[in-house]
Amino acid sequence: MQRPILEVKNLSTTFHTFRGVIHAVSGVSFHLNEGEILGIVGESGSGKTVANLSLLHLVEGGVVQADVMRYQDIDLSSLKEKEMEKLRGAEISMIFQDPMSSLNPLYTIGHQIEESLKLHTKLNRKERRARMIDLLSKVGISDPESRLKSYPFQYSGGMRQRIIIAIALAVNPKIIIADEPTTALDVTVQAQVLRLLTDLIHNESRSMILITHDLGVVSKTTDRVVVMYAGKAMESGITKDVIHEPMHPYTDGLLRSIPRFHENQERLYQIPGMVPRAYDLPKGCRFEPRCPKAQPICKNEEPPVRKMSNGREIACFFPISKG
Amino acid sequence: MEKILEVKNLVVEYPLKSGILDFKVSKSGISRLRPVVHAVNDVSFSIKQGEVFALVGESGCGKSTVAKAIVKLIDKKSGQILFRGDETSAENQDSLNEFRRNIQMIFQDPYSSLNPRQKVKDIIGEPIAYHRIRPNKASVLQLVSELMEKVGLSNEMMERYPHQFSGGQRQRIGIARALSMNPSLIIADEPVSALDVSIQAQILNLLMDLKDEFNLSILMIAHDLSVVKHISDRIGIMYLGKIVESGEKDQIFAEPKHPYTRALFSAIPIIEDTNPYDPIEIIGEVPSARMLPSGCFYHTRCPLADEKCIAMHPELVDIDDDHFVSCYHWQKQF
Ligand SMILES: Nc1ncnc2c1ncn2[C@@H]1O[C@H](COP(=O)(O)OP(=O)(O)OP(=O)(O)O)[C@@H](O)[C@H]1O
Ligand SMILES: Nc1ncnc2c1ncn2[C@@H]1O[C@H](COP(=O)(O)OP(=O)(O)OP(=O)(O)O)[C@@H](O)[C@H]1O
Ligand SMILES: [Mg+2]
Ligand SMILES: [Mg+2]
Repeated sequence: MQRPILEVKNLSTTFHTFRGVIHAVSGVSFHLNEGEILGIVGESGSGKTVANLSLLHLVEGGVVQADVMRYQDIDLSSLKEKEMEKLRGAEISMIFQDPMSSLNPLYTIGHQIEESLKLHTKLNRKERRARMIDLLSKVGISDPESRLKSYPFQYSGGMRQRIIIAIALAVNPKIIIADEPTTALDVTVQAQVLRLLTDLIHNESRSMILITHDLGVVSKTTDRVVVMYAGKAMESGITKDVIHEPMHPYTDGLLRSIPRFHENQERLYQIPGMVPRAYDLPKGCRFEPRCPKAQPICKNEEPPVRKMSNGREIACFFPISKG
Repeated sequence: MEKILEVKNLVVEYPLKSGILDFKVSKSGISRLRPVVHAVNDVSFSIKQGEVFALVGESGCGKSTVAKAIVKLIDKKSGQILFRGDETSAENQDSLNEFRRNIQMIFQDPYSSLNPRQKVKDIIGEPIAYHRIRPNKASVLQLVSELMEKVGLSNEMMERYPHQFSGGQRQRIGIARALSMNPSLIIADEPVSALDVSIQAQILNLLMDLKDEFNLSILMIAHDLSVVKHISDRIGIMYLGKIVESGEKDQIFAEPKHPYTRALFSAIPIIEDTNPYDPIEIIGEVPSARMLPSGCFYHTRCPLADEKCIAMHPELVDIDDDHFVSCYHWQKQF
């Protein structure tokens, strides 16, 4: 098999606050293969955003450590700020969680895309214009020439999200990291934007990390998935396998708590208890206090990551077995 | 079953500050338009005792405006809102108070809907004292503690402030506050949208339990169609301030008829399986609620639209046993 384009081993990010140390990400490993879409799911606060910001040196006030953080042949942890900036502009593009704040309301859309092209490409004015028009039509905006002159407020939410995708694509990145790119959008617009993103990835052999808390989106869009809980990767593997046969009790609970479309359920399954506080984490498995399968060992020891067949990995002493 | 709430031909507009573009050129010359947002345009539906009615539709289609008009947080332009068959006039303070007590609202955002400077016992207790539901301080506290238990919060949390609770717990506080009024109808405006799935399940189960226990009616506003399918008995699908289709949940999910409903359903990301509805991509964008299209409001995006749809608005007609559709072409395939 090919070597992954991006690889992270044992990533930990901590914040030192007046309340104590927050272990936002603790020993997470994942990789991204070329041409694939990797989903990262987990509840609010589980560390999805921080893990990805850590890769790009974008966490403010946090301490990032990792055994491996590699993009192609580049060791990301050793990059200087200047080099990282260059990489972020040209090779890895991030679509940030809060889409409205990533566009400047005072400038036209055309101006904002052009700035990025000026900074990261050697195209001349004419070429830049051609590329911008091409980009806008690619993300499905009709009449791109006149649309370049519009300001962000003149676009709907769905169109703004397309513009942000266009800006992310402008420099032809190898990897796109999209943090909740459709959370603020309606279902029909969400479907359009996701179709657009998957087409762009699959037709142009780029790769993407899709961060979301929506398991429906994950199941429809991603090839592989990492399930995070309280700063840890609980389970990862081929999306279909994980969704249809979850092995970690947390993944199982999460999937069971969603209303099933094809069934009429009396009640929904509830994971008992609450997510632990970030500065007060259980000593053993972080899911132990809520886990229906927990044994004494789970309270005292952190389960190591076990490799199973078909690329599946789980951090659990007592995984759910088939049947 | 008794109809607890009837909304008839509700129209709500929001005034806007006028701008230089608010002129209309016609044969008779230039006329000034009164700039308004047509948020709700002739909406009718009813909710029976003990029933969950869900309003669904995309952002900006007027769902929250309907809810706010029902509880009289905003004024309606025309139409009727009948509670147990009667219109409540704003003049009669006693009947208005009674109406306000009977219809309680749970809000989307469990973070901003609770006063951060109030302790939980006051957040829940204050309306109880105001409406004199219990005679004295001690009995108010007693009720607060019973309500907290009912929604799964422990007694000792009474002295805490909202920021000391998780999102799901805050939503429970909001529900306890609503229940304290012993309402017959609860309006829940996106009560789980801001919550994680594992917490969402707790709140949905809680609402269903309370419905069964108190024979409550619920008007549920939501955009997650899997949630709607789970919780509701009947649904109404809104587009640009109008209901385009309504009826029994099972029937609508089995046979959606309006082209917009069909497009909406085909976009549901269904986890277990592939989406069973024919794939339909909606073209274009939702028109602005400031300048409504002519005829059927959906014609600008509808693959079935013809001249008739552009000229005339289709009535909401009963096509089969309380299944209402507003479309000339509901029998056509794509
Ligand atoms: N700058 C910071 N300082 C201190 N703590 C932080 C900081 N940024 C994030 N955290 C904490 O780190 C943890 C992980 O946060 P992160 O934003 O990665 O979560 P997430 O999984 O992306 O959640 P969401 O779904 O809500 O976006 C949380 O407990 C968060 O409060
Ligand atoms: N106070 C207001 N002033 C002017 N226009 C408003 C106001 N509140 C809402 N609107 C407009 O009225 C229309 C209906 O809004 P409403 O909030 O009822 O929609 P909604 O269906 O609840 O949407 P969402 O799913 O985003 O909550 C929208 O076009 C909205 O922009
Ligand atoms: Mg995040
Ligand atoms: Mg609303």
